[in-house]
Amino acid sequence: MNKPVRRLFYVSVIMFASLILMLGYRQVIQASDLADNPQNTRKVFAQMRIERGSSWVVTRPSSPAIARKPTFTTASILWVTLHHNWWVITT
Amino acid sequence: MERNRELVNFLPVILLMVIGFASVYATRSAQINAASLSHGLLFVGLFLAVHLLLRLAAPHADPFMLPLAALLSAIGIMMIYRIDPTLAAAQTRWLMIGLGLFSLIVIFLRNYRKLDDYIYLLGIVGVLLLILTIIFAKEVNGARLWLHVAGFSIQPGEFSKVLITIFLAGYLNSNRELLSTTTWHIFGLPMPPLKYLGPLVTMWGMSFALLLLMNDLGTSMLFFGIFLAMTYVATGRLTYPVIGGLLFCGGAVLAFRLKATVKLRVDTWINPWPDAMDSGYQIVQSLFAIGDGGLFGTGLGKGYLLLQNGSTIVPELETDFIFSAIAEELGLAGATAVIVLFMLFCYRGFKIAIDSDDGFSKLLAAGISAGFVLQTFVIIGGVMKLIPLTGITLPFVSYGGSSIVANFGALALLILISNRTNAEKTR
Repeated sequence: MNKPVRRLFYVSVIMFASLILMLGYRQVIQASDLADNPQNTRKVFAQMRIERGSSWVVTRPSSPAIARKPTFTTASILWVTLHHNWWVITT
Repeated sequence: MERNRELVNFLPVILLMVIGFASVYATRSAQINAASLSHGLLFVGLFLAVHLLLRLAAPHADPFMLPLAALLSAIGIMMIYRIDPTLAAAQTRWLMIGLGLFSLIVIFLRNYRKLDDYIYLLGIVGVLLLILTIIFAKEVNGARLWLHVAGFSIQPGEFSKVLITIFLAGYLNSNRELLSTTTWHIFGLPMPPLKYLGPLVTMWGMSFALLLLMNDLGTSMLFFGIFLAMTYVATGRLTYPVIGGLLFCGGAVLAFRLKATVKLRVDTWINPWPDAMDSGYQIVQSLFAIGDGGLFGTGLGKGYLLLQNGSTIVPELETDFIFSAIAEELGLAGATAVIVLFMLFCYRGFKIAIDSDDGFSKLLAAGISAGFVLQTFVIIGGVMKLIPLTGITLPFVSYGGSSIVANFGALALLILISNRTNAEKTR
């Protein structure tokens, strides 16, 4: 039974390696797109605001599951908090 | 000799706790109380007490497993302390219970092979816990994983995982000869007699039922993955993982079509950005946090994790998303170190399986180690958007009593297996 255990370990090494590679991709290659600096986040938030218009806090259901799900209030609260306290939070 | 090596291996844990707690306190001294630093001291004291117990009860046990678990727990409690010191106090209490269970198992279950006589009872208890969860659990974020008993939230799936692993180790050890015989072929793959495929089909059915009734792809994937890994170890045949994998994929596709919650999870995984303030909010904020970490992180206590009122920006940050917090504050270097620690932990687990000389111990050690690999992969992969996000904990690191207690129970079994194997070698 030792050979299958060894093979399982090799598979687990591949799985962990794929996690490290994805982490590197997110933190190095995508960092400039994802980094939560004020300009970038504001850019993303602003883009979303343009896309969703004035009703963007009360989200439009995009699938049957969302239609049955209550509005994600945390997100709404976060937006309101960020909107009003942006400079306080980031400085 | 092994225990002296273990004691030396505790030095990085102590160092990490001192530096970590001091850094968090220095950065957030305005918000947190100096008395909370005592959690760090209590943590170190608890692990040193367990080390002393192992000197007496399991002197030949693997000298790396406990320090690795302690190091992962130290990283976890440090991050939880950074998020909310009151949660760190609660986590320290859960750690005491977890280490208490660990100690009880090490003292009273030294002949752990007796478990082989009770596998059906343990298997039934494991399945019953899952059935209770399906019936009584309240739906949280679309998944039914938690039972609320006497003011506590319990995740029975964590305990089921260990119990079903023990059952499978005993069952597969008794039946592996039969499962290895070939009587017919399907697409060139050798197959055992149909009646011995029963357990495979039953486990597939159970995993699929979990997926449909608990709405949780992660738990389902975890149970079925452990089963396939253990069946492969028992029979040495790739037929089982190949067919099992195909069955699982078929079930997952069916669930995607039938269940709106599963479809939503997959849709959010493929592209969370169109709904970044609703269904995709959690994963998008997680990606922001990870991206913000860069190579070396923002530093402990300096990440953009909390709002002014103390609530976390990423929901469930201290449980499912703790890896995002680690990646933001410790960066690629620190987060990679955490993954490498898990890899070392699993390497020692598989080594214990290879070194052990009886089928039950080998299967049990391999099953527990495979469970840790899968759970780590599913949750870290989920928060990084490598695979669909599911609500399971990062072993030893995430906040949560059930997870900590069940994982220390599983660790105790690995420690006992290694103690027995090494003791027989030294005779």
